[in-house]
Amino acid sequence: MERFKLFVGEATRSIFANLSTTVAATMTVLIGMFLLGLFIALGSWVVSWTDHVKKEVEVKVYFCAPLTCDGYAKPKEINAVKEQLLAMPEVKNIVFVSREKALERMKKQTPELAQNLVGNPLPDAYEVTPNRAEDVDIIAGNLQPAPAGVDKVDYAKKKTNRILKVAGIIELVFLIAAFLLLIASTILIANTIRLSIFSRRREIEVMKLVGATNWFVRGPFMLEGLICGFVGSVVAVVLLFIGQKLALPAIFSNTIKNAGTDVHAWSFGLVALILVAAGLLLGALGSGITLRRFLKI
Amino acid sequence: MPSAAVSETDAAPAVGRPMIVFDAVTKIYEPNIAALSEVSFTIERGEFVFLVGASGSGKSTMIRLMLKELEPTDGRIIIGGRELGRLQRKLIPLLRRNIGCVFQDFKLLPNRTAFENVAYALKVQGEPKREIRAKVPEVLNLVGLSHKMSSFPDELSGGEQQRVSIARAFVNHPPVLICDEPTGNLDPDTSVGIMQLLYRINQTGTTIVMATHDREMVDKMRRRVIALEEGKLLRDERRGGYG
Repeated sequence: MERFKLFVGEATRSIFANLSTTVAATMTVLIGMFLLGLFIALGSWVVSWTDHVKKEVEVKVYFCAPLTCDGYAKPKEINAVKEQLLAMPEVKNIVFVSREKALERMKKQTPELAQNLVGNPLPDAYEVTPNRAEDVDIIAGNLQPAPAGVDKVDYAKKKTNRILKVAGIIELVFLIAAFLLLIASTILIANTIRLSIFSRRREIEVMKLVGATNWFVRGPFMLEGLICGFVGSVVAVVLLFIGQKLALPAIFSNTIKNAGTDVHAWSFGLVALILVAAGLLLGALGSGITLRRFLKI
Repeated sequence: MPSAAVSETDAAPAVGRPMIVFDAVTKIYEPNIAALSEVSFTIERGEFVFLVGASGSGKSTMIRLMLKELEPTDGRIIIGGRELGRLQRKLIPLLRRNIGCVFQDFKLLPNRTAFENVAYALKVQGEPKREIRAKVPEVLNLVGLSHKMSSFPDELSGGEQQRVSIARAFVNHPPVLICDEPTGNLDPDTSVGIMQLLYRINQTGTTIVMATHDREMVDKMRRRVIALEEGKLLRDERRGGYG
């Protein structure tokens, strides 16, 4: 306890004695953590968005209707297709959309088209959701040639492939960028800490000469790193919070609303927690590891 | 804490146990510069020893070996009955607490007052505050700086700064005081004051090893002189002169 009080005393002392380097280190942590936070928020939102888009990928099985074939598909045929779909391991679930329901939907989505219709030209259909978006190809392939009563199987081949491709690229880009950002900010912070320690190597030399143990030298420095890391990351969290509340809605309001309700970035609390933890870790470890070089006296 | 045990045994005036022993010590810097070759001598407790020799003769290497800042290439060094080669790394701080160090460039911390600079050596050892408040003024009084306790190093003259650094080295009353050209940066009059201070500290029973270039001082003091030349022991005289 006595020693801890001493560490705190030495750490606060050196923070104020070397204010400019302390501020520099804190600012570095702040910038690094701010970018990281921005990145996590944006990245997790995009990943969640691509997941959402992938979920919307489905196979539509349209049954015969008077306009396309001759008369409606028989319930027996519809049931046979259902059995066939349920037997496929790639199928997650299927929803039957009757022709009445389809017309209702159309009235809601495009009323101007629906009001001119005489009768109901729409067919019955199954909407098939795959386990993985990539499986739509297989499911559609299994229904070739079309079973009795089925008019056509539609899964927007081009659109689906493009969505999958773009989602894959986005995820990859974010992964690489996050990795680079983490490395860059670690190097930046380590460098700042090294500079601040380098300017105080005389102090460390004296400490060693009067018989300070390595931990005695390291303690205050690491505590100082912790404090810088903490202050820097907390300020970054505050800035991010302000940004989230003020800037984000103004810029992205439409995009976000249109994306769907199940699209979320990680919660702000989680991001804040990650940032503060990363800031603390970087501060303490950065100064602890950098010090090793100077302790070999 | 094990530190107390170590310092007590080392501080005890064990009769017939030499303070510092160099036994055929050789130090070769990579790739093949011999800083010391086969140097042997013994320094008894309470001795005052001058270490003389031209720059590059191996004086500083010798001092750094005693502090275990360097390891000898060959030979043994024994300080206070402990062989440094066998000393564990984690015990090095304890060794250094038992050896006071005074340097030509003082090595004071610039942003601390005289009092804080001296107190620092005690803090490092986990000395309680009460002890620090008692011991620091006492030792600053001994070096004649009781009126400048709250001055920062840049407000003190060279001689005064060296007194602070001697106070810092002596505040734990270590059995050995090693001085690396303590008067090298000071004018002759100030140097005399510093020498008198070291002499007084020596009178308390502290072994003093002092590397120096100050010919006049060495001749005047008539103390033991160990002379080095190109890493070899040139002379070892009980009451010698500079050479």
